[in-house]
Amino acid sequence: MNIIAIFKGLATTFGYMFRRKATIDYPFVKRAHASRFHGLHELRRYEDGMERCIGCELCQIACPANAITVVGAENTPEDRHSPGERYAYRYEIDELRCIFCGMCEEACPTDAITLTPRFEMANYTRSSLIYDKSKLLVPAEFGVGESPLERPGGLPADLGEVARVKSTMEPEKGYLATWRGIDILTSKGKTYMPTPAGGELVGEPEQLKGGQ
Amino acid sequence: MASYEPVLTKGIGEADLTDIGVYRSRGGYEQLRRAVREMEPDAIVGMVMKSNLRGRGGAGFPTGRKWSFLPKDGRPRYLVCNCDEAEPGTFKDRMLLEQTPHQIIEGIMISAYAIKAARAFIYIRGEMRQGYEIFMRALEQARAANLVGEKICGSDWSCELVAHRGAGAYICGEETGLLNSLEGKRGEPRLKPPFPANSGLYNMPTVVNNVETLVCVVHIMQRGEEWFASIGPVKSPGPKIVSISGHVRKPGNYEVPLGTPIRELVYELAGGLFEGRTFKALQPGGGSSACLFEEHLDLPYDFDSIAAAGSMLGSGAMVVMDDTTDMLDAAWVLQRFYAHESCGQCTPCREGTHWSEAMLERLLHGHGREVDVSLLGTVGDKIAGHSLCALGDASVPFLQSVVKRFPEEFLRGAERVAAIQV
Amino acid sequence: MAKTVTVTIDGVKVEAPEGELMIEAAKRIGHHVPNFCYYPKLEPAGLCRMCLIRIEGQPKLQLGCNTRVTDGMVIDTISEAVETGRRAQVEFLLLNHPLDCPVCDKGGECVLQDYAMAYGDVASRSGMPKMNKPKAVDLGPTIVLDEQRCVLCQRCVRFDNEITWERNLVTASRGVYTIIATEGDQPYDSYFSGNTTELCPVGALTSKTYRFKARPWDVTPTLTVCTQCPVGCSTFADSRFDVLQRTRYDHETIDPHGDPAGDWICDRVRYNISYLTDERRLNTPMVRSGEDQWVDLAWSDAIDLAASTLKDAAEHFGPQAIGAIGGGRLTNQEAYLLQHVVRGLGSANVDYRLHDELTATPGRLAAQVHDLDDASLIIELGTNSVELAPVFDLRVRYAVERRGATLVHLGDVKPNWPVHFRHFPTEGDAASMLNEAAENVRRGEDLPKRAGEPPAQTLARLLRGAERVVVIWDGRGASEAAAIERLIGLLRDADKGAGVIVVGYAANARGAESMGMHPALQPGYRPAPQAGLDTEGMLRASASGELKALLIFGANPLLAYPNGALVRAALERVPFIVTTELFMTQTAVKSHVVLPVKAAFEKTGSTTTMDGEVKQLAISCAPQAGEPLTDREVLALLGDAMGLQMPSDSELEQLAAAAAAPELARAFSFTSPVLARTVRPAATPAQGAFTVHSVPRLYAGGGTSAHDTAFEPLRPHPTAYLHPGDVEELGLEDGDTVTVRNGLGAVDGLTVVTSKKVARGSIGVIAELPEAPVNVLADDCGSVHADVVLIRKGRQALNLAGAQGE
Repeated sequence: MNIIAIFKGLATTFGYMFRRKATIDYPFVKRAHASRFHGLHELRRYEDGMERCIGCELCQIACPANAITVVGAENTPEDRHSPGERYAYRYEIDELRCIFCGMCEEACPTDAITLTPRFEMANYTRSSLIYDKSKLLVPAEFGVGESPLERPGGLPADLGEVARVKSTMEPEKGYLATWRGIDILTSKGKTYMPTPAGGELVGEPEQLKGGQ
Repeated sequence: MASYEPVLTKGIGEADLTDIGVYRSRGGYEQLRRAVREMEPDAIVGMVMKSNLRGRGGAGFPTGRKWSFLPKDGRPRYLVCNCDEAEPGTFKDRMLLEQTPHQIIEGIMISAYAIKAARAFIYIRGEMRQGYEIFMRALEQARAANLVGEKICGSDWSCELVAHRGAGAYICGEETGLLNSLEGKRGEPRLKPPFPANSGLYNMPTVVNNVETLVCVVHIMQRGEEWFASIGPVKSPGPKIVSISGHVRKPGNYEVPLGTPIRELVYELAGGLFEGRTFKALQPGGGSSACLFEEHLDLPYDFDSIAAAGSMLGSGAMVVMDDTTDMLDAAWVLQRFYAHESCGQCTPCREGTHWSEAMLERLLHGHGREVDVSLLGTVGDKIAGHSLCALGDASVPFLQSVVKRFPEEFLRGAERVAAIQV
Repeated sequence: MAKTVTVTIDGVKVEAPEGELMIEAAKRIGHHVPNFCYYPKLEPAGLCRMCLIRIEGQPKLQLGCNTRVTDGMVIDTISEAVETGRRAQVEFLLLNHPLDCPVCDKGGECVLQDYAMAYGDVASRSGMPKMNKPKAVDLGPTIVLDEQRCVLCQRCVRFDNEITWERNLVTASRGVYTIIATEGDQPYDSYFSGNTTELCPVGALTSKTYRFKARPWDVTPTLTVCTQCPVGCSTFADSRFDVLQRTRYDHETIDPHGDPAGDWICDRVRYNISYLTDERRLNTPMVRSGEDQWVDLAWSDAIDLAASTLKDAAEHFGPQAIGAIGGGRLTNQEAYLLQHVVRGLGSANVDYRLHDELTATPGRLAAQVHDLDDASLIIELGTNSVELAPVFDLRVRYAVERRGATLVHLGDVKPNWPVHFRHFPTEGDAASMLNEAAENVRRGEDLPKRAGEPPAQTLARLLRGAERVVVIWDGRGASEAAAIERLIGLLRDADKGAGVIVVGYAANARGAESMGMHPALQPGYRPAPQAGLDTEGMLRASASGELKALLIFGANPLLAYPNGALVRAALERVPFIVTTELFMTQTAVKSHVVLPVKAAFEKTGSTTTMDGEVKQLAISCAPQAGEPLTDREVLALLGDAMGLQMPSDSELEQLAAAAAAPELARAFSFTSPVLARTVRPAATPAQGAFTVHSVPRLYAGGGTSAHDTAFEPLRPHPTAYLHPGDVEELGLEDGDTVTVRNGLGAVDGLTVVTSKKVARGSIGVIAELPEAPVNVLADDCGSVHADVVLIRKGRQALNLAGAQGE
């Protein structure tokens, strides 16, 4: 009676003991995201290294949370930032205010501001979460940034299917450099920029069982 | 037809009418003398009014009515003779200027007297250098003979005639553009109202008349308004110089009474088409008029009949096109002219003529789109009736009429692309 | 008032004055007729063809901007035909428009954007590349033109032809290649160039100083008043992050049916604004120790120091040893407090006048500015409204060119008027010419017109023929004052309209005068029981050591006062000078305590325009560094620290409003004997071959214009204007560098510009330039003589933008 009930209960408990764990070993293992996950912002470049942002402030006016501040200025032949006449002299996003709705991305006429799937930006001070151009702009040596238009569209059929990825983070090597709040990590002796998924994919995506 | 004896062009080719002596010996300047000595200005206006003379410059506005619009408020009035003949296909004023300058001077001075002008002007197209020189010699002779200047022909009336050369812009043939140019400003049409009759040259009441119109006045004076009104149809009577050009054997200026059938003009006066060609289309009134076709050949050549057929008599320049004419090419040439001559003030003319030109050029070079052919008509609708002056309106009729009639010739430009792509 | 007619607009019956433009009549029922080229203050042009409307019974669509209403008209401004017509125009305009709205300064306040949304198609049908017209064309020192965005409405060209009459802008080329250009490709150099950026319905004309700084939705507009000249134009100040980004004029808001000539703003207020954030701006109180060592002080210490020293001076040397100069740049409230503090200490030595003027209030002889519209004769003497009151000058130009008024300038240097005017040289004595003309008018003789007659006789003939006469005067000279009073009295007796407009030298000169910043007048023009020393008197007392403490509030006498030698001597001698300033000006350097204050855009208060209208300042931005106070706060602190009875804020507002009451100004007479000034000892003028004339320039000055990096290219270069004959005689050429010197001093580095605007034997030197102060040549306020010495031959690579304008 009671004993049976106890064993029934314990059976559930012990049953879970032998199941696969729902928690993952974050940050050493990371989970893949939906292809259009709205994470941290990034300001993109053109192939020739020019900034895409023209400082038009349309993201600022589109932002429902008033998180963006842009101040434009004029390009000069000596100090050219973007192809046209105008560039963003100052570009700031208050990531604490941001609701990651992606309206800025939609408003942008040059596809300059995009939301990457990166999300790790915890920090200790409020001011460090006001991202300025130095944190937002893709460093020229890291390419142009990913266009929102190139990402797979729509809701992926395998949204429930979350891949486990193993982070390349090797804690003993520590941080090499920091840009836009994402750590640039070293792996096998070379500088590595995290992929949009935030790490290297290990194994095939698999259906996680239970607990989801 | 055979019974008609030319009056406006009488003596051209027979005698040197540029010489005042010859001109006077043939009765020249008699009418000016009679007008300033014996007639009241208003009587002349009355005669012109009764003669039903309509302007020969293109718009066909009754001249007598134009004169009667002048306000009687004591401000000085000006008469401007428009000799900026630049309408494609027109070359009648040039002939009058080069052959019978004294007739023009007489016409100007009589009309100036009739409207009590303080000063008369003639605006001569820049390219007519020879005509200008001939006219200036004639003007000197007339001035020496006391026909221009102080106390003309011994009367109390004085009026100076000033000749001004343009610099070769089509738009300066538009009356307000001409006035701006005459004032030394940029040759751009003015916004109307106010009309020149109220505020024209130097903001004073001004009449602008075509050369041929003013020459007609001399003959109305000479032969009476009844004679003039009896020639041709009642509503638009009088002799008219028709400049026939294009694919005809004998292109040239022909003086005919208004109302002469078009077929007669093309096939009898101008000698008909070349051997083995067939008639395709003709423009009855210069580059700005819509095309007339085979079925219109028996229309009488006068203001109202042509207007009823959907075109206009304009300045009386007939351009005949035979079957060898590529209408796309013709339309492009003409449209390029309008786009080039647009003054750039008003939106529809500035942008619309250029757009049409670009589309035609594209079609011509085989880069066109099929939609361009229908767009040509639509763009025309967007220009017509919306432009500041008549230039925008003038750029539309020819193009629209030929696109409507020969769409296949235009579609060819688009098809070529399709063929290349395949 | 015109007859009223009834028209039906979109089915609504509307009463409108006969002859009103339909576009205006439609506004009466709140229907906006779209337009680009139409502008209420300009003549209709009918270029954009956007304002198409349908009139019943007329086959073609008509222009709303050039068709006038007549009785019984039935008009459609909203119908399918009308909309089709408008759609056509928008499609045409967008054919070659670059659609670079995201980077366009006009984006957000652009009518083409609005109409493209209302009447435009989603996609282009043209299928052809856009015209490649030039972008970012440098039109002049202030304006950048984008030919691609231009819709060729020619508002700018028409403004330049119809309002300023300067005719700098033209259209060039033809057809679709038409562009806006400047006459002869000269730089667009006008005091009113900024207005074209506002007139431009699209982003074709943009201001260099505002380019890409902010979008229209970023800025917070504040309606305030420009305090750069006595005209007192209402101005919108647009700020972002508490920094002033631009100033502008909004006709729709301030002056919807305004008259064409009035109510524009000039480029001084538009482009001389970055001084507010200049790094040279003072941000902490300072005290001088030694020759030019400055020590920062806390506000409390600075106020204590000033207050105790002033009190000591009053106790030891008597209150008459204290004086105050300034107030012309302050608000009415501040001017009131300044004289209140000094009078509170028992002294009456207060004066706002820095140019040896007599008055800034025309008083009972006043004409109003709008009287110019009906004037048949305008006589200007002393002043130069082109330079000293530019927006007021537009009304003068309008009166001359549109209303046919005759414009006469009495003076020695011919002004830069682009309109028709007559110039009568007076050799420094305009009063006797006026008197002679008045005498001639009084005698009623009508002498026949003949060549070579004396100017006074011509002037008399003009006066006799004139119905309404307006005199424009700078307020200088007692004999001029008497002559003007006599002339106006004479004309008024003859039942002619006549009056005088005084163009003061300081923005709020009239306000300061009404607030009692005058040794002989208490607030509200009440005669003071005991007149104090005027500016000249104070300076002389300072130079002789009698004056022990001087308050200089919002003034730079060392640069402005004509008698430079006296100011220098005075400032060297006074033991204690307190100055409030934005910058370390020439005067501030010579003082002992310098207090940083807020600029006009950063404070509230009221100011009195030259027309007597009291306007309110509003706070539109904030100082970006330090903690400047307003003069009002400084004076309140000073007064409290000295134990004076100070009015409360609300009392001060009431007192200032009462003193600024217009009826008090109307009762005032500038020839009243109480205004008698300090008698000057006869000076022996320094000798020289040339008579030196100070030529005023709008952009000169030692304060805001000299401390503004963005404004630097516009500032006039030190220039000596010489008659061609003299230039030849001296063997000079245009562009040579000369020094003008006499026994008192020398003005160096002047560039020679040949100009027939000065007479033979005269030299015009731009006044109030800190790098070349012309007043060093004078030790009296009268005529100045000096020699010209060549320093360097040849033209240098100089920015002569300011020196041109001939």
